[in-house]
Amino acid sequence: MTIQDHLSLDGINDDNLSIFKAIGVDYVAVMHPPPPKPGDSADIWRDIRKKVESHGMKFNNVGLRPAKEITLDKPGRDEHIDGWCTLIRNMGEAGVPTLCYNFRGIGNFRTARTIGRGGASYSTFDYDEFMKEPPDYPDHHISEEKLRANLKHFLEHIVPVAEEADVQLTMHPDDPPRPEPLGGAARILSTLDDFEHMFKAVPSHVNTMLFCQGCVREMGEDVPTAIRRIGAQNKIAAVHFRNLRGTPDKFQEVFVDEGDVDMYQAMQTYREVGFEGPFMMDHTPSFPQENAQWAGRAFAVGYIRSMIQAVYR
Amino acid sequence: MMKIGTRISPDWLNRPDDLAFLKQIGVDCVDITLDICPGYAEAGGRANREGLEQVVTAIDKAGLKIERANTANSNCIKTFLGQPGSEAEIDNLIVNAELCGEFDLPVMGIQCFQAGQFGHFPESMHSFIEGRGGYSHLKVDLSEALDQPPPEGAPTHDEIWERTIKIFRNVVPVAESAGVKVAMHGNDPPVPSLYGVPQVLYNFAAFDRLFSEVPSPNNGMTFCVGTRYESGEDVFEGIRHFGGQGKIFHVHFRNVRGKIPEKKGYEEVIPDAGDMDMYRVAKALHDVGYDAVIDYDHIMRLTTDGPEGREYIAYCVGHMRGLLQALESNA
Repeated sequence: MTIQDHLSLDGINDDNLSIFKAIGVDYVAVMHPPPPKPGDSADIWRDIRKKVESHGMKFNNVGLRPAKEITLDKPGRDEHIDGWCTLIRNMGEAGVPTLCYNFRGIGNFRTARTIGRGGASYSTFDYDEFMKEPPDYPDHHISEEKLRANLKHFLEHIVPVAEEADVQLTMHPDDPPRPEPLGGAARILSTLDDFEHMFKAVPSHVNTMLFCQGCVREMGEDVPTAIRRIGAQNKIAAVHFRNLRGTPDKFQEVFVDEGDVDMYQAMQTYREVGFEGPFMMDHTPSFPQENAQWAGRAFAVGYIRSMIQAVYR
Repeated sequence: MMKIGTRISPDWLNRPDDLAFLKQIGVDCVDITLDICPGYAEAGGRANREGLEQVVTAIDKAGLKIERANTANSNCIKTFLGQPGSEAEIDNLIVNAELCGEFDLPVMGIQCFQAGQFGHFPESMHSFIEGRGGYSHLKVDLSEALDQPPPEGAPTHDEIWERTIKIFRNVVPVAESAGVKVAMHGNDPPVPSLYGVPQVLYNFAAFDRLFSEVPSPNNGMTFCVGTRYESGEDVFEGIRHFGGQGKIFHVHFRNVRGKIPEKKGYEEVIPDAGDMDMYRVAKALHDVGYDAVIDYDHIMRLTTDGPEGREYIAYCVGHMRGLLQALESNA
């Protein structure tokens, strides 16, 4: 059973890879590289793979967001999509098996952070607070119908390439996952129905979900029931094993051990549906102290490891 | 359900940030050595009310509780070596036990004689080696240290027993009336002698003897999973045996690679990487009804960690919390 953690492109260095290895990380993901271009070479991914493997781990995933040319169908879309196709082919060549992404008219929303255990600070969303001054992004306005059509168009281009390259495409839910438009942009990956809609729009074994347990809980779903629902379709390609306190309208991203979700029961359900990793900690609260840069990850990774050891026996 | 604890040293009183950090990652309790109390060392190992109160207040302010107050084996050195001054040492322990009771500290540690208190041993016994990701951990090599003739002037096996029992006969009844449990950790490394210097508390039979020599519900042990495993005895049997009698007052929850009978040494490793299945260990403790503290004990150095060791501490506490929540949810 594997644990994955992520670094930015410029975070791939010996220090960071050493601490990952020391705390028992198995797989490394690289997040948010620059938008891919049609002429890009696979060398960068080969080099990273070599580097990661020299630390005894596997380079398993690249994560990025499609540019607004793709999501909102702006001029230049075809070239951007070609860039993604190149990226996927390059990943296949370099042996990097998963690509995680999302598909949003406009990005994540949170309200002011809140203070939690011992003074740690939590990423927080309070809908009432948010709606006091709802943001508007005129350049990002898009209807549900149009955004779904843009996703389908995108998938129709990248799915066959991913099948050929043997790369799994793993879609992350909207965050917060609210089905109504926010900031003037529709949201089309905010419910499990939305995901099933996406699976059906372009059927393929590479068209999968990054099962962010945090977002699934933010949807108001019962986590084990949701794991069974998506797991039964063999669509969970990776898991964000994080916890949450609150309701869809008001929640905090708390430490993994103090949220509303019974994490042991969740882990058991992943096993029950045949999921074998990777598990990722995703986010963790931030510490006010200096010299605590990796402590939140170390805590979460230690927790995930022991949950794995308790369940996958 | 069990709680999570960690040891702090005297300088932590001046490190409110670090105490807050323990709270942030969900540590419940701390383990102090009484030398953290102002005035303790100056009085030769005797705590005073004001000093202990200062410590209790500082820990309380951080939202933590003191679970175990430890005394150092150096506080009993004259007694162990049969030198004048033993009465004062024992009197200090009595005062310490009474004070722990006054401040409702559940457990007091009294340490046994360690061979290292008599002899100075070659440094080759201990080395630090690199584990996965370059973290640094202790390797103990006893290949030269065992089965040696005793050095001149060393206390004998029988003398050490007699002196240990003397301490316990005097202190345990006081602790019992003060409502304080006395926890014996035993020898580290757990061997009958080191470079010929005898040690007596190195196996389960020795703990049994200590408990039968000084019978009291308040005479028990810090069950150090690490040293118990290193000794080659069956940790799970030990947990059932001592846990079943209500003799486990505190637990050092660390993992090890290698046993002394097989390898004449061992390595202290990161909790998920040792020979023991720590989920099974936690479950065994849970099954005997143990509900006090587990402590990851020794800190190892991760390459990116600061002097505070926060990353390693966080990793261990996360690992222990996952095990405890798994047990709780599974109940």
